[in-house]
Amino acid sequence: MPWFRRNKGAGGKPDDIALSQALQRTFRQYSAESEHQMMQDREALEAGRLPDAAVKRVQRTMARELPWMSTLSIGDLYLADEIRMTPLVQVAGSCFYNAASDMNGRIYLDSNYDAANLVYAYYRAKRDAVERLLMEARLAGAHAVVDAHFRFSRQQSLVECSVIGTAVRFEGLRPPKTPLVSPLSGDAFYKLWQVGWMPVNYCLGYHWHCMPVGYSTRAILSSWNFFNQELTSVTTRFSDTRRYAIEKMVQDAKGGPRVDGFVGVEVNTAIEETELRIFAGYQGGFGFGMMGNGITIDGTFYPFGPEGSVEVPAYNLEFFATGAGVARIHSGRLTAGEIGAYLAALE
Amino acid sequence: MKEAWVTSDNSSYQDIPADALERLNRESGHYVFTSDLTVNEFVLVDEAGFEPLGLVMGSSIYHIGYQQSAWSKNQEMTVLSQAMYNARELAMSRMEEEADALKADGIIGVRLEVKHAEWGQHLAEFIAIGTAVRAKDGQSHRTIKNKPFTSDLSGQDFWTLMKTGYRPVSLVMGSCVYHIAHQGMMQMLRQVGQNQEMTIYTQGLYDARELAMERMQLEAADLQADGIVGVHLHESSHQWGSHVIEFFAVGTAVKRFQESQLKTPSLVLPLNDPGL
Repeated sequence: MPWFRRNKGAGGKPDDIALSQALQRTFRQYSAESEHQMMQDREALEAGRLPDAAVKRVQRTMARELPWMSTLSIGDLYLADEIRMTPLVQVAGSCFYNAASDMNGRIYLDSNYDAANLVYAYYRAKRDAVERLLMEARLAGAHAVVDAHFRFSRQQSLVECSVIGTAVRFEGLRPPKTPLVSPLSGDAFYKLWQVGWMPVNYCLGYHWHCMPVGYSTRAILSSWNFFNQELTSVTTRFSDTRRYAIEKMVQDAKGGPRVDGFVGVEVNTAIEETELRIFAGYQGGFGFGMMGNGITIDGTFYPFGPEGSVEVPAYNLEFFATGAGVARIHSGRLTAGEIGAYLAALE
Repeated sequence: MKEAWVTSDNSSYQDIPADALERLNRESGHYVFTSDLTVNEFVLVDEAGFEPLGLVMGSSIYHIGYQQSAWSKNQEMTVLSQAMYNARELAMSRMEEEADALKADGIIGVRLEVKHAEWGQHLAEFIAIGTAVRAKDGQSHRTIKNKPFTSDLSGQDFWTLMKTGYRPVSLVMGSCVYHIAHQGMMQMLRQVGQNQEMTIYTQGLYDARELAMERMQLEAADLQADGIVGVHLHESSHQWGSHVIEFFAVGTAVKRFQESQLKTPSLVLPLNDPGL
């Protein structure tokens, strides 16, 4: 068969194709946002405002022009209804924040070999994402954002924090100036309110430390070492990293309403091998070479190269923890009056 | 007596293969219902006043077209968005046709899956699968377009929803495939040594998410739903690389049809599972 006639017989019967295409024409046709609108959205974000589409979605949902949306499951919705918590609208917030890095994308460390800029980027991304979430919640006149799903991700020095949750109203109570934000669902709110606790916020504990190592640590990993042996220096430094992260989590909780404890704490840790570039004159905390011609780390002398720097083997120690902050308001089941008084005191 | 539905004249179900129609034929004499409900779900669906009719399924093997993206610009890849939406809708509509053939009121436990075929570039397999159900009292629960309702709710959630006075209307969805701009050399140089927000990325994420959510909300509005529950937002790059991402919003649109019949719950904390 000549090639130009083959289409007639190949790829399915023409009737099937026509049927599929006819069906697809009945589906909703998507159209993209204009470049002008994208530019306006970027300017809005830079000016500390929300993109137009987010504002309109919240306003139209509140005006009942569009159906409400909720991340809550059916069971959560039922229990939320039982405690007179009404879902208003789905709210979201996002921020991509870049930590200062050099031309090659390497992260700067401070004098303790902590990645202070990266740690700052995590907290700043979270702060801006939550602030944008709260702007949507305030537009809806919400008391709280519940079932807030947080997502953190990192690509080299770029940190993303995104959060999506459901803005809710506590019926019969005046909304606080700043709505509460909690990752806990309607089911968890129901249970905690039964025993006098109030979910109040979501806290992050993050620390990132780079630990340069020398011969005495690396010798333990040598293939000639046949003994059982702990890498005590790495264990100790990792414990310090954990302690700093948890301290920061507690500090994060102090930025908002009173927190008496955390529930549902999730922990992610990572230890990876890396190479640390140390420049001459860097005031590191682990030892210095004689006459400034190198650096001694962990019993090993690393001489600076002609470019005035040296690459040192190291371990990146990362500790990431999140938790839902809760506050004790009463010893028994919470009443509307107690919740109202608590919210009023937040202002 | 239950009504026979699939007759010898199957001309109204042109989009369903003959084998599927035969499987769904309740007149055949050897018809038994199939379902992927667990025993708990089966009992609760029965308790909610519904009976399972059969496992229904629709699929579409779809070639996803090509669209050139501008390297340094944020933009929606509408060709890809439309492809992802159309293919899912094709699978859904075929599943609905199977349910229609069973004279079902709706489909519960719908799973909507996308698999990328290894045997063809830009090919993807979209599958929708669920259990068709019908009200035992003969009351219709179909949509305003006289189609079976669809929902991704489990049997337990379906029972709870019905008892709270809401009924599922449709599984609603919105898709947006978005190209996030790459950074040019000058931009990279400007940000060396700077802590700063990358608003171009934030704006791209916002726009893509808003478009997906709005499209889902408009689908629910078309069906006169009151709200959408259990909304999930999925992000996936599929096979398009790290700068092209699909935002897929999906949830079950619901509508109130009666007052809640649930009684005040009592607090029960299971002791055998610390995860609950």
